[in-house]
Amino acid sequence: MNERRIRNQKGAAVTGLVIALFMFIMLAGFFAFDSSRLQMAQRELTATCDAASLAGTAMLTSLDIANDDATASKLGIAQSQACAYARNMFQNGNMLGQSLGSASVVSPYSAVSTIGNPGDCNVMISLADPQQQFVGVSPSYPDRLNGRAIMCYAGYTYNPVFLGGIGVGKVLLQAASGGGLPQVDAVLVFDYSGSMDDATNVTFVRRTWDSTINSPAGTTAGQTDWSNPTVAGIAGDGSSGAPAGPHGMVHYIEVPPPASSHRLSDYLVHDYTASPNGVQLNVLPPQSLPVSDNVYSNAPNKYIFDRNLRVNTIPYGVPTTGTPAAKFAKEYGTPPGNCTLAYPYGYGKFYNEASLIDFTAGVNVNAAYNTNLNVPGSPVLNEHARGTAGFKYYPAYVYSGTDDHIYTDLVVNIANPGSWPYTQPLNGPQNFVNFSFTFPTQEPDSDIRGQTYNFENIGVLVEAARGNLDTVSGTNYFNDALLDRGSVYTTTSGSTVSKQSTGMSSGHRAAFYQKAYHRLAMLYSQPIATAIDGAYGGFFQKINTLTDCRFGLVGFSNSANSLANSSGPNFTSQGSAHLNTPDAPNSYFVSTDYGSRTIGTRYAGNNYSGPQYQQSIGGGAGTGFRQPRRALAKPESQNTSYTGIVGGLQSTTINSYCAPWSAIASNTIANGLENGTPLSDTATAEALTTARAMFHNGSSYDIATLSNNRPAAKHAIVFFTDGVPNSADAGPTLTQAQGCKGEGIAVFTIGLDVTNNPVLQGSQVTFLGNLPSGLAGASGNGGKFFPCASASTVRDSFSAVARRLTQGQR
Amino acid sequence: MAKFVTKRRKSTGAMAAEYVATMYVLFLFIFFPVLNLGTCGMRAFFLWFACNQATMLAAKAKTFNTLVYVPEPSGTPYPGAYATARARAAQIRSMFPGVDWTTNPTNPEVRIIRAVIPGSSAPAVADVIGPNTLGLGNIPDVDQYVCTLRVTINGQVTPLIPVPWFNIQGLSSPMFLRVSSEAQFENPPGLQF
Repeated sequence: MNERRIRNQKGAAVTGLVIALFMFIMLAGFFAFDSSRLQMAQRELTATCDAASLAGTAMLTSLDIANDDATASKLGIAQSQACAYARNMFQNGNMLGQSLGSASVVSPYSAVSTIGNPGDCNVMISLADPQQQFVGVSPSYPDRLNGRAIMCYAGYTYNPVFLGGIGVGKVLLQAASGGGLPQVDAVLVFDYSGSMDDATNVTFVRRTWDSTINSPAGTTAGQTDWSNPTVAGIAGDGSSGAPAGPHGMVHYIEVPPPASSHRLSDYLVHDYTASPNGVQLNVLPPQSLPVSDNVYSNAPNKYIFDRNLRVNTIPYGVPTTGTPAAKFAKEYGTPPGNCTLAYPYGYGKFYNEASLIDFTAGVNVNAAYNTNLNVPGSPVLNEHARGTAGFKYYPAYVYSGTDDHIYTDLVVNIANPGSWPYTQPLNGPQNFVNFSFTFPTQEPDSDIRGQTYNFENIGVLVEAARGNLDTVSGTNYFNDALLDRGSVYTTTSGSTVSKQSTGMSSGHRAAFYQKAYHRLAMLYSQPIATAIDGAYGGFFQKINTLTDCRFGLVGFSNSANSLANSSGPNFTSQGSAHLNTPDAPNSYFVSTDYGSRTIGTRYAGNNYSGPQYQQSIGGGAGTGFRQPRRALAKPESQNTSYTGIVGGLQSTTINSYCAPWSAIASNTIANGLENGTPLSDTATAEALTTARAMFHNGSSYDIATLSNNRPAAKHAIVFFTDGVPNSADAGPTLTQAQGCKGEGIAVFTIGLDVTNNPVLQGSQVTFLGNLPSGLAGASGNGGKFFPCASASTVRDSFSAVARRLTQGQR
Repeated sequence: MAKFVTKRRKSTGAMAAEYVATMYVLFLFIFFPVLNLGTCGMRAFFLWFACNQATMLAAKAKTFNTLVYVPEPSGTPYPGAYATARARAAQIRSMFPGVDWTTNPTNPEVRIIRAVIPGSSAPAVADVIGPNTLGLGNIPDVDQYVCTLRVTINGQVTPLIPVPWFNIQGLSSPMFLRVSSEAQFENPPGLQF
């Protein structure tokens, strides 16, 4: 018994050793387990904070903050929603297999670090100012303007599983993460080609002198007695065979579209399959009206602009010799009206540069009218391309026949755009509707800001567009255009024809009427107005609000002839290519040619021409219509860079011309996004060459040097177009995109197709797409192609680009 | 001749007598070595942790070895990945005693690795070791290469109780370690600066 006890005591220490080892290893294991678990918890908490802050920042860049009010209400709402999104993202996370859905949202920051029960989590989402070391900012105005980052702070009470047994208590884990302030240096390449207004609702109008209207009532069936309302003494003097007495007034005749749609491309029934780049005819200057008659128009009867009917080369009211001054100083270089009655000389007194025109029948066939003929319609030389020899009689107001789509004016069916900020897309009515509009106090152009303008009918539209309703000191365009003799208009709706007085008198005039029309017409020009609005609100405003950025702009259309270097780069605003030859596009308001008398040749050097013709582009190169450009510049402040592109409209008046938003001014605003106008071609190679070269522009910006570069910035070119280039331009454009790849420049492309044209869509996918043969794919560096099937999605695409450029983590 | 009589010693105290040897064995051959090795292991983890954190933070840098301010010129300073990695590693080193390394321009080493994407026809290119950068104009083609940063630290961790009598790394003297961590660089064009 004793031996057994003694034997049992032998080796007892070994047993203790084993137990001690067991305890030691167990404690080590517990420590290792809890340490690892603690580390895992810390990482999960950090990852959840990262995800929340990134999601919040991404949401902030996704929300609409365009056209914000004075207190940045939209930004405040966006920040609030972004914070809520970040909070939800956090609460959808997990910690150690447990949902964070019950995480408490706390404030202030000190509450985050409160130790609670095991598993408790506190989270605080806040706005932060990246410019001030990410210090928190209040969501109230104006502090919120600096809240460009979403911060996520979290505290988690961790309870050790095993070590608690040996006195190790709860541990507070903390994590913080924030969306950073990315740097973005981007150049927008924006398409101002002629097709950018193809979706605009318009009306074609034939403005004629209707010599039948003043006939005594009842003398001609179907005619109305429209008495001469204002000018009693303008009756013909009886010379040159002209009979005395009143002889008509101005008549505006709507030339209706083939179908009900008044969209420009539908008017002409443009063949988008054969010509995917759209209609070159423009709704605003330079309208290039002669190109309405083109091989791609499938209209049953083509729409034919008649120079003789539109352009009056007779400088009435001035001496027959000498300087043909002011009378040509209207309508972008053309006379005010197509009615060649020369007050005070009376009927039959026409100037043919050097001598009076005798309107004996058949003598001066180049004259626009023979007002001596009291017949339904005025005979003019039928000189359009499909014309037949001899005179043609234009019906006074009846639209019929196969060859009567002859027009003189193309006006936009504008409407009341509503309150500021105007909401795009703005589409005018199919048939123009009378309206009155007072420009809001936020209107960028001070000339029309707060002013009220009435647009009662198409007659008013035509004269407003021509500039004849403007009050300009020393001139009276209204009378010069013979509107003081009264005017009527005829609209056609189906088979119903109505003829009514326009109601225009000299009292209808107002300052900057033409500018008001052009401003509204710009807003209703589609898709360009929506595209500009999308670029403005979807891209520039977001980038400016959420990043440290610099911008460049390359407006493009044509590249030949007028540009300083047709192959680029051209950093400053460029004048459009234009010629003095007949039917030359982009010359100025209408053709430069009138019969055998080329206006540009005959009167060059005099002040007949508009700023878009021979005035140099201020701050740029060439003459003609402005294609705005603005170089990327590192030394500029962000605000200067931003406002230089989206700062508003710059317009001016020179030599009595109204030059809305294609100004000759050389200040920075004139080079902004809204100062371009649709015209001409889709010359992409020169545009992309210039955009790329803006990143190699010496002291302004040079991606190849450290001192002139912003090395932390994302470099991007955003290429927007509604077409594709011709085959000769496509290759050089792709070469430029390929060059961007090695320079770290991403090319984001946005292809707009408002015509639902599969041919164009296919071409855009090839040219702009993500494959190596497309611009986005060739550039690499994250570039991407965004197709847009409608104008309303343009902003979404610009927002998507902005989102890709603005996401970053601190 | 006296008969040798084997007499069983009393069992009382046997356990205490055995414990001396047991404790000696326990502490000298088990506890202290395990403690030292355990400490070294934990410190090795801290060394790797410093390396890993340095990599993670450096991967988010805007440049490789150029200080930039966002916004310029007086906004938040962002040193390059090279400085960020080294500073972050040093910060964590200071938090944990027993973790150390000799600091020189290549320790911690911050290496730019451009790994060819499988299927790409791009040639293999040599790594660039900081403080050198890729150099202006040498922007990696992200369609051909994956750009990563690898931070490597040649460091040492010391045992909790140094034993002077013999020299066994990790047991009686500092253990020398080479740890590294790798992460994809988020702004590849920044590697040229």
